[in-house]
Amino acid sequence: MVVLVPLIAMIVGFIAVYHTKLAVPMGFASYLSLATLSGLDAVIGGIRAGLENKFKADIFLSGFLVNTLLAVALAYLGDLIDVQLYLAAVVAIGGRVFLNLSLIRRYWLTQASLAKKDA
Amino acid sequence: MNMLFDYKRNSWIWLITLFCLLLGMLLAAALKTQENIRTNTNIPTSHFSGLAQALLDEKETTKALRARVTNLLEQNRKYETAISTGDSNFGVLSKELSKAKFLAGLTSVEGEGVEVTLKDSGQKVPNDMDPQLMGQYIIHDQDLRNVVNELLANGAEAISIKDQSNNQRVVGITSIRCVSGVILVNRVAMGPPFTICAIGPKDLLEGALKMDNGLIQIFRVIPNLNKKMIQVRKVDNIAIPAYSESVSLRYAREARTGGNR
Repeated sequence: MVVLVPLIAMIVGFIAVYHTKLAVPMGFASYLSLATLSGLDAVIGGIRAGLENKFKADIFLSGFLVNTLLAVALAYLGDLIDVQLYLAAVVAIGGRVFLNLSLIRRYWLTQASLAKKDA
Repeated sequence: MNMLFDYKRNSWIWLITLFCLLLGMLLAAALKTQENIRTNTNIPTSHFSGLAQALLDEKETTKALRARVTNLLEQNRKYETAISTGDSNFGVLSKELSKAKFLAGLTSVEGEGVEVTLKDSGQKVPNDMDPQLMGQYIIHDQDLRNVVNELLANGAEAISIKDQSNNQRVVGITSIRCVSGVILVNRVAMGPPFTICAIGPKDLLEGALKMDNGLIQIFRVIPNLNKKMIQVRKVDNIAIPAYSESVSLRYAREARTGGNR
């Protein structure tokens, strides 16, 4: 069950950090949440690309890093000039997460119906 | 499931796995930070509905604490009575003390006096009303201050301001002010209708309020305004509670030099 490996990795990472005495300054809380959302977007986007056989490691890596940094930088800029640019990042990234999730779902449904025909 | 991931093109899964590990760590860090914020600030949630519930809980707590203050003051009074009856030396001191406490408003008192009721007019404001005069339809902090001042000027010895849920003693450090539509008396939020109870010479107090050009006559300038907005009534026995907010001096202390005597 290869599909479970990333999931297990995520749980391992979660537990590893959750049980440390990590203390991120409270002012950074919203940036951290944004970075997490951006990370989720990159992973789900990567899965979609992988399923479509379009996965390219360089695009995935640069996308993850650049998108995360850009989202955080944009949110920081928004805080500086008192515009909630944070929301723009959340809407844009959140929208993409949903889009990619629905594409993954379609892909799996198509595969399942193809498998049924073959059988 | 395996057919979904053709093994030959599976290399991408491992990169995803690596980033899932990172994502898990980020998730944990974000969650932990939010938890830290909640526990360190005692703010239970950042959602409005949760905050509303917290506010209600705090209000309940405040109510309970206020009842406790009243209780403790009562207990304190009992101890003082016990001391004064126990020893004649203490007796003199405690008499002085009780006089001082009476003047400071720290004891509940009763006696004859007047009750002044203040309420909003309840009338509809006409559309052509001068905006400057619209405020005349409701009771303001200024009205309470005026009545209290008038009563004190005419010999009231103890005054309290009462609404439906509070009864606040007016003492030397009492403030009466308006903060965004709510009237704060002794920093406690109150709303109309108000009853101002005053112990003192009831005829004089009533007369002072009702006299020509007195407070009641010049209360509002709009004709046909509800005359019941301000009413005064003589009472043979009014009970006025003790000051029940915390009494702690942070800046003032007793002068050692004896002042300018």
